[in-house]
Amino acid sequence: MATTSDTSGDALPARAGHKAFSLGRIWTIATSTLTQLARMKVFYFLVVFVILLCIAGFLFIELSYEQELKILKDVAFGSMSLFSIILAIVGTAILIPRDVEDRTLYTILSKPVPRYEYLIGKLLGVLLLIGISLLVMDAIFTGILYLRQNMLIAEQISFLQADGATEADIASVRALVEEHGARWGLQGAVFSIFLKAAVLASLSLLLSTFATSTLFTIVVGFAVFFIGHGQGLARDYFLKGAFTGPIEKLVTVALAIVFPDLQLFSLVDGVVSGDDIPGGVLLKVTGIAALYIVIYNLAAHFVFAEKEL
Amino acid sequence: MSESPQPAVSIDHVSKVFPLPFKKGKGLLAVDDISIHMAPGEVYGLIGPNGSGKSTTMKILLGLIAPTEGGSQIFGKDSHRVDSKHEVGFLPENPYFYKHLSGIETLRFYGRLCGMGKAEIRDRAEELLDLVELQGARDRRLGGYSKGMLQRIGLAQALIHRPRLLVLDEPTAGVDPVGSRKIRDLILKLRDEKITVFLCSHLLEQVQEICDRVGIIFRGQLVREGFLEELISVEDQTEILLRDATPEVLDKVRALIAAEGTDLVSVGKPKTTLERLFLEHAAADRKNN
Amino acid sequence: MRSRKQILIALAIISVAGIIRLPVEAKLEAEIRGLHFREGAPDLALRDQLSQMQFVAALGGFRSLVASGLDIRTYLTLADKDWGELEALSNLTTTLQPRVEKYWDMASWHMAFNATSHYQNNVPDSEIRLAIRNQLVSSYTDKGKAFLKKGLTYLPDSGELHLALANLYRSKDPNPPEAAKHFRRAFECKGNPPLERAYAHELVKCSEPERWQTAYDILKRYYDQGERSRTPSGIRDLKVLEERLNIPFPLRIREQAPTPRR
Repeated sequence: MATTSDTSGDALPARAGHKAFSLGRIWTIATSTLTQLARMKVFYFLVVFVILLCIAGFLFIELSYEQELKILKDVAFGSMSLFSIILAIVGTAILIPRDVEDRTLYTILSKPVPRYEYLIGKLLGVLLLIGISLLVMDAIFTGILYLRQNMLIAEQISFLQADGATEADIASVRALVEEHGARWGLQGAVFSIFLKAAVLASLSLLLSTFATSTLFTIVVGFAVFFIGHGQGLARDYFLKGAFTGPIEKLVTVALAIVFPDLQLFSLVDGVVSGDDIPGGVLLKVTGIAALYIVIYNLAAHFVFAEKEL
Repeated sequence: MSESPQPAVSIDHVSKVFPLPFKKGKGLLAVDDISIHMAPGEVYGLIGPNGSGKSTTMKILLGLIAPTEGGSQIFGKDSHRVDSKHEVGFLPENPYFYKHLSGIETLRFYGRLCGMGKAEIRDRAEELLDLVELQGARDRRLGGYSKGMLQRIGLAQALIHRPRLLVLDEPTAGVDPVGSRKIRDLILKLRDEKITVFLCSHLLEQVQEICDRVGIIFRGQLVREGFLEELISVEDQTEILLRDATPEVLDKVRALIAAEGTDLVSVGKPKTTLERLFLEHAAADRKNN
Repeated sequence: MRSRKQILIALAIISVAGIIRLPVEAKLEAEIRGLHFREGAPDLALRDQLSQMQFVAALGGFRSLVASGLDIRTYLTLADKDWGELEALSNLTTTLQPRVEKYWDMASWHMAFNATSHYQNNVPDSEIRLAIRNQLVSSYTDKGKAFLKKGLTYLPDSGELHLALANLYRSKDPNPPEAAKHFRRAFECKGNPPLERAYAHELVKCSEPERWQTAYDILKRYYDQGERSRTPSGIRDLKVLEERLNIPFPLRIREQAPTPRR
């Protein structure tokens, strides 16, 4: 007969000491969240992504090579942004309610798992999914962009050769097209998309710790997304201090302080135009994203630690 | 003189008031000054109707809800501390777990949460899958499990880290008689291994079969508590069962009772239960096939 | 109530952090804008010109994508020859992304060349009076120039835009001093020798002797580089300048002035 335990009620078994913080527990929750979300057929979006890129990349209408490559980059980054934003807000919003509904939350928290580790693990799982998805999309996009760029270079070279251009002219045109095509600087844009999604996911997790429904979290999440893109205006207004009334001041203060400035992470446009994100800027933006993630997680911990389940 | 062993569970004067929205100062009294102590190795049943406070009491013990007053301990440790969870395993009511995980993956998941090593989880998972008779479904996703199978894998995850206390909320609710019998047999096996079991149920017959002590809860108050035998014994009556008694023997017994001035309450054939009848047929069916 | 208290604590954490991060973020945003890396949040004035979905998308960080979408629409509108719509779309794309050189270039091209060519060549006399035709051609040429000039305020070092404006001043609205100025800027930005020669050719058309001298110095320099750098127009203008500047005969180039085509 299989036994369950060799312990009697009095004899204490030798147990490993309890760890107040365990990366192993966090990783366990993160990987299970990753597989849980991945099975929600999110990767069908990748198929749509590839189709969109093929359409955008091979429009074959009479545009200049700069315009053609710009459109391809815009569609790719726009799709990556949209996908990661939706996953960050909606994917995160359903996590805690789903665990409550399935009673899984009780079985997890009745194990020696601190509530803050549960939250961190859930967030890490979402970020893993967003990160992996962006990497895959980036790889597909870079491949298509490279292919299209080379087709355009070949086209330009054939025009030049028909006009009797020199090797130097051909090299110059090749360099010009490559400047608008696949280059390492584009990865900075992908990273900035990830940072924005990470901030939104942290915010969504915070909202879900006290929200009364998943829909509330999603609606407020998207509202904050849009307000956050205009937050910079409120901030500049507040810092200038030129108010016409107390209500105006209060609203401006609230907007500037409470809402995140998501415009800081909107660095795709510059990259599409041909500039690389300066290293110093990228580092600072990463630091600010990390700050937002820590703040939102801390706030979520305070709410969730006392939440009655 | 030996000291009495440390109680497995101590719930001391616990009350819980759920605040009502928009009604400051007023609240819903879900648990009202409940005290329960369980000895190690005991099977304790908390019974009461729906909404009586059974689940709330359980969740307070597990640290899922904070009490308004009072406190609770598990083997001497404050039950709201995370480290006390090493001693307890919980199976909630109607659990679904992560549908995308298989049986073995579920056990691995919970084992890792308890800080167990790979080899330890592997061995323990095999042991538990044998115990709950789910070896055949170990690689099937939980989304394809029946209710009874979910309850059994739920028991297995609750036991993965060898806890000394098991808390079960309605362990047989919604499960068919065969599955229900398996779960009850498992609980009895656990009792034999000196694991303390705290269960709550509104299926009174099942509680009667397995519990040592029972607490009856109504509207958040513990109205009665004690050992099962004492609680259900009809103090002033005695039962004698006879096999193959002839009518003459019965007449002699009646005469003796009358002579002693004792009341004869009833005479008749003892009844089996529908459940036993069902199980006998199920066993016969398995044997034939 | 406990949960309300916890939510207030959470709000307090966010607010305190918000106060601390305000100046940090303002500084970073200023740095990003200073580098001309991207535009800020779209102006409310844009709200009237964009559809709701376009404005929301632009607000949500999809500005470049919206601009690309409008750019495709511009191309499709070209087929309809709806120059008013084309102008409006060009205004939008350049407002959304003022640092994309190509948008200014194409806007100017559509106005100064496509639109003017349409009114000059495709609209029969029966449909349009000559005065109106001339007025439209002049107006669209001016619109083309205006786009380039505005573009140059955002991209003062854009060789492409200077070149486009120089070409406009050379062919569409002859103004040799302006053409020369922009050919010179284009050469400074791009470094292509043909651009420096174009600069010189425009200087020849001017009336100031000091400009002729500059033109002569440039064209002579190219001439002296050898056979491969000598062009028919370069030789022609050198001969003209040799006369204007009274260059001593021993220093003149050996070629004869090319015979003008009849």
